[in-house]
Amino acid sequence: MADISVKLGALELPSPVMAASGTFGFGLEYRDVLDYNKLGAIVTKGVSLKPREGNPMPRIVETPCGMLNSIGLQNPGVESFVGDLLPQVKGLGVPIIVNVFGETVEEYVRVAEMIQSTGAVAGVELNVSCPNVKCGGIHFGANPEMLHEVTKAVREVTDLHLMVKLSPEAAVIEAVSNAAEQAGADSLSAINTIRGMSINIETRKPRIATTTGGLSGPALKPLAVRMVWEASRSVSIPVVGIGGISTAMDAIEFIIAGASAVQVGTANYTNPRACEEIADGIAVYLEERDIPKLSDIVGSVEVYEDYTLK
Amino acid sequence: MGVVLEASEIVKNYEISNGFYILEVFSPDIARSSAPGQFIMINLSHLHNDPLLPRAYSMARRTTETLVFIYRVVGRGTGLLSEKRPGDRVHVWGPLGNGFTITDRKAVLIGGGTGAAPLIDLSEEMSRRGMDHTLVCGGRTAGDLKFMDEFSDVVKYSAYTEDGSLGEKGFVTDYISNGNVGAEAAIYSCGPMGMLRRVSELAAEKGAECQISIETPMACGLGTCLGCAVPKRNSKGYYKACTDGPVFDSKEVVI
Repeated sequence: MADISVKLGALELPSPVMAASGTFGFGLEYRDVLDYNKLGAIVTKGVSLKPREGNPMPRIVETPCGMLNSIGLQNPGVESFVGDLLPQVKGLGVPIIVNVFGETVEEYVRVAEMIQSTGAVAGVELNVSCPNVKCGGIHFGANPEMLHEVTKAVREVTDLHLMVKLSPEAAVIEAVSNAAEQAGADSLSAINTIRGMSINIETRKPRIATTTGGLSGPALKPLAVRMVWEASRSVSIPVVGIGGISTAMDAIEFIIAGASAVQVGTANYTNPRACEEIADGIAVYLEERDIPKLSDIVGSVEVYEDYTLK
Repeated sequence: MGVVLEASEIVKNYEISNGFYILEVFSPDIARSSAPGQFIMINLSHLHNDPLLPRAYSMARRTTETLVFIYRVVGRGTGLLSEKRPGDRVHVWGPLGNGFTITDRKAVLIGGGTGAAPLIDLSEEMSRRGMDHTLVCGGRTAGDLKFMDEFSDVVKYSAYTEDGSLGEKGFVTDYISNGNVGAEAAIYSCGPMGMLRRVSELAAEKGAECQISIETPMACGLGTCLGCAVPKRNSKGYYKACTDGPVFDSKEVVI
């Protein structure tokens, strides 16, 4: 059996396949249908300081090879997460990475402190890229200075693995990647959704109550592969690839582009067993090609020698 | 038994009338462990990128080994489903959701269009329990209710059509407003949102209990996508149609 375990800095994961934030609840929902031993980690739904009700309906709509969502970070708040959910979630035996969201730097810090103090979590993923909230989220992730500030502030209060989830809406991906690395991030995850729009041409109403929503699914994949490639070339910390991964071949493509591990999101909806099948498929890919371990192919893309744009 | 995920073989898939289809899939585990008003997710294939998402369907009948559904071809997803043949497989997971709560009150089942599906299942269950009940279904024309003939061996129903081509002329909600339903009744309803709104209003007027099964956009059916939010009436926030519903007390939700 090929070795598909991965190391992200000091964090050792049994599998390179994580369930992406917002598509896997708090980890309990897939117990009946999925072999959790195949998961590298579960990244929880975004957790904020106070409970959030989320956005009005409609919140999701299917689009060609993808979907738009605008949930608005509905979550029970960090207190309820730590008190009610975490005790159940930690019993799953899978590393837990808590997606942390705030409207201000102070809120990110306070949530991270509370997560740190539980002692039951492997890492935090900084949500600086949600496109569906009025304050916070993408407002931090699109701006290198603000991203540096929030990452540094959270770094000071936690020694947990600190993953920073990048937005595809940052003007220069290298700039935000470098800002997160310099502020002390242990890894980057890329990418979150990108804002899209869909209109009912009969009613002329947007199909999402907040007018725009985040595009996810296979439609996003080439954009995500490109950004993972760019991000991984500009930093020395590991990059976790996200964006339309629904098969093992998709995951391998991200890994060759430069991802050290992957997160599976929308595919959990279309196939509740997606993470398991992808992890198995990665092992088969390596075995069939006599590649001893996954890290051997991370970033192994062979770009054309004269690829520079003229 | 929890949620079952499997590639189920299609037993039957045929058109009844103007775009209305009957689908029967082989899934003994779900058939045995489900209840009226619950639903399953059906995906044409895990590797299908477009349309991407699975669709939620309520069972119209559960035999010992199969699940029977009624659907209408309205878009590409249902169009592709209609092209599947017996022996083909579709990916299914379920049973999902809460289903109807059967009470001792005089039961009145009100269905609109293909929303009649879970009420057929409920009617059959009530008959099994020896409960008196009334099933009333509405459509625009007789063709919209042709699928009911497929279930005539087990359920009896009264029809309302907007053009009067079958049963009474009018809306199915007329059955309630015409004095057939009082405070002693429990209404069980499923259908278009506008119809459910009217059913809920009338139930409140009459003082009847009322359970409504709500269809919303839904990506996962398992409680994770949060796309199927239904506003709570008595407090802030939302229920999830997939795991808190799809059946709600009409007094507890805003629709």
